Amino acid sequence: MTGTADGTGAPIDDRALIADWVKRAKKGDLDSYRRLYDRFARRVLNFIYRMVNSPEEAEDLTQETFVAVFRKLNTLKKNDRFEAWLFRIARNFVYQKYRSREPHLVSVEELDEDGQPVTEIPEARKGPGESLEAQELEDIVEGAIGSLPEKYREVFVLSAIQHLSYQEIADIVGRSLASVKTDIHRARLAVRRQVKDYLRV
Amino acid sequence: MDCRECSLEMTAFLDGELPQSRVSEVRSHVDTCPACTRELSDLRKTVAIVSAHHRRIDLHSAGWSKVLVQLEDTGKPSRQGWLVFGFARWQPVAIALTGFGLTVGLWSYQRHIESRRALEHYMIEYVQAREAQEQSHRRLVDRGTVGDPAHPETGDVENPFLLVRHTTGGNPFRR
Repeated sequence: MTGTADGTGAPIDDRALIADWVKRAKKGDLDSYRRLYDRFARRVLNFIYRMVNSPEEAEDLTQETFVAVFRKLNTLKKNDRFEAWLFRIARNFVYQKYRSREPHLVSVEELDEDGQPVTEIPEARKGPGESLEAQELEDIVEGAIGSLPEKYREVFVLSAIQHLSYQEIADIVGRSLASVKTDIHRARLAVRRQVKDYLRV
Repeated sequence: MDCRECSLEMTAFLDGELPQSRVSEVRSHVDTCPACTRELSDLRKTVAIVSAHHRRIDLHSAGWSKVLVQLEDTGKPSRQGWLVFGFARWQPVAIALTGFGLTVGLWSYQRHIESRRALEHYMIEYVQAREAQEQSHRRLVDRGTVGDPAHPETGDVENPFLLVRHTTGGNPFRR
């Protein structure tokens, strides 16, 4: 379940703590900013990774995001909205990077037997003794998320994986609440179709 | 609520994003509709599968160090950013208020100058009238004709303001 009564994802105590760290970081307190980094960097990294599909690029963009966020901290008016603001900046970096990139032409060697582009799945952390079924499920989930159109993928990731509220997601992507709600529902239905074979297990 | 409507609200229902009135409607419908019960269950399982099996990547161990190096070059968060942002946003309002303030100020100053000139003019006329009246009175005293009915111009010398009123043509402050 995402969201709270006032439309933000984090519990109220956490938000107060985060707001305090932001307040201190605005004055140049790097220890407080380190706490914010420790709290959010991994989530930002995985969000960006979903959008760019490359761990190295995601790492670089995450660092760029946190440097830019520190420089712009004093433009954030409400300290307790830091999380949504952070994701918004991360998203902007992703789109800036993609807009400046030339279209990627798929060569024949990159197509599989059915003529579809081969999706490179980056090395992920694997625990010892991970079952075949779990690995299969992971591949299915990754394929399902990766096959979503960009517009649906970002709201799906922000809701189902990052557990942000709909209002926060609307603020991040710059669309209306109604539009975000519809797209999240459509994205879930699309992913459900991909994983339907595992729903009866 | 019908099945189509219920289906559209299911994701928001699961995410706790529906108002309470709608939550009750969805619950009431799902309790009586096997198809929607199954669909809700499928959506719930879908989210559970994604949460449990999506790939996560870890931060590089030197990530913060790289950020820190750049932050230390930056110094404190930029105040200028806020000033530029704040100024840019409020610039049209500031210009409009400044223009309005200047206009009102100039108008008030002009009125003040006009009032002052009118007052000075009135005082000059008043003083001139009093001096004329005093000179006339002195001449009459010298001649010894004060109070003589044969000389009506000395008439009502006890109220010099009557003469002043006739001389100045009225109070310039009265429009």
